[in-house]
Amino acid sequence: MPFSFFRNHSQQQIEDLLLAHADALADGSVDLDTLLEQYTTLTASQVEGLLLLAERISSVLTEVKPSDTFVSQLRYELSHAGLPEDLGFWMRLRHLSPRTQLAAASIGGATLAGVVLIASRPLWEMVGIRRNRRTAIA
Amino acid sequence: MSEPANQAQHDYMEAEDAQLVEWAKNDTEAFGELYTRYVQKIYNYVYYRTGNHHDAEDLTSRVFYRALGHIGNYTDRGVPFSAWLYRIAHNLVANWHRDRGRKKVVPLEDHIISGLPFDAPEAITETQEERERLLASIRELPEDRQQLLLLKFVERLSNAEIGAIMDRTEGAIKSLYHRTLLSLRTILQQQEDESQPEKRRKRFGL
Repeated sequence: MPFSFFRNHSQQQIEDLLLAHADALADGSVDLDTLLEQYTTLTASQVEGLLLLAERISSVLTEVKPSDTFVSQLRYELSHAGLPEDLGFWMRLRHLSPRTQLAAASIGGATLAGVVLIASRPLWEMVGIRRNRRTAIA
Repeated sequence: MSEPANQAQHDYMEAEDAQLVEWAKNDTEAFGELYTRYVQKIYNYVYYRTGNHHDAEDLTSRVFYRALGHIGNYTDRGVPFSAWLYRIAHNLVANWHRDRGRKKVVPLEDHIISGLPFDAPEAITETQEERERLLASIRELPEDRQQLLLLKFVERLSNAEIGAIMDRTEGAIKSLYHRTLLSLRTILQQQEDESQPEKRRKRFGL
């Protein structure tokens, strides 16, 4: 049989063992001896370091609890926010990302400035005409 | 808003997610039950991805507001409802990182106080510095690898569930987990190598 077959088979076994070990760690039921018995073709040196690392990860990544105040407050807010069609404009806007809010504010600001500029043009033109008239009379 | 007549007939706590989702399209109480089931899981996920409680609270609330806003369009494609929520959380966290342009380190003092598993002997032997280094190294991994570790060890999801959330086969999850451990080991080794001269300098008072 080609060497690649053994290599792939061994690789497959390592992956199976590592994930089975991770499942056991997550369940809190690790029995390493029983687990290793199922993968007889592997040597301890092939997996020892990775199994130890997985145990360290499992001990560091533990569940955290949100505060009760936060959980109950958010539930209250959600129940009063209403259904999708009832979600108001400001409620939707509040929960957009800061970048989107900034972009919306910039577009809004630019549009408003444009409208003001266009609207004020006749006024400036009128002032300009009067000034010209006065100059002509003088 | 919700319909009291319908609510009286529904047993929210006994209902399956798929049923609750259908009800939640015009019943806020049903959405409230879904919220109760998943708020802690989503919070955990976001907390480890952001590194602090303040942003975790902010992003968790955004996840549920977004879910509430889009639940009317939700269609059951055989993927668990939780997978949909995790995807929303994943996208919001990705945007959050993009907006900030940096990745924060989990504040260890908070983490240790709230999450130390006292029954795990490894937790006792592992020093604070080692834990901090390991968490920092996990946060150096690519997003999908961090996600895999969180879904496996914090959320304790099955490989099928993780596959549904990450849109990969179970076989792909298996390979990804192996590669994740290998790259994490490399990162830790590099850090160890970098810190050795520093330690030696400190030891000899240089």
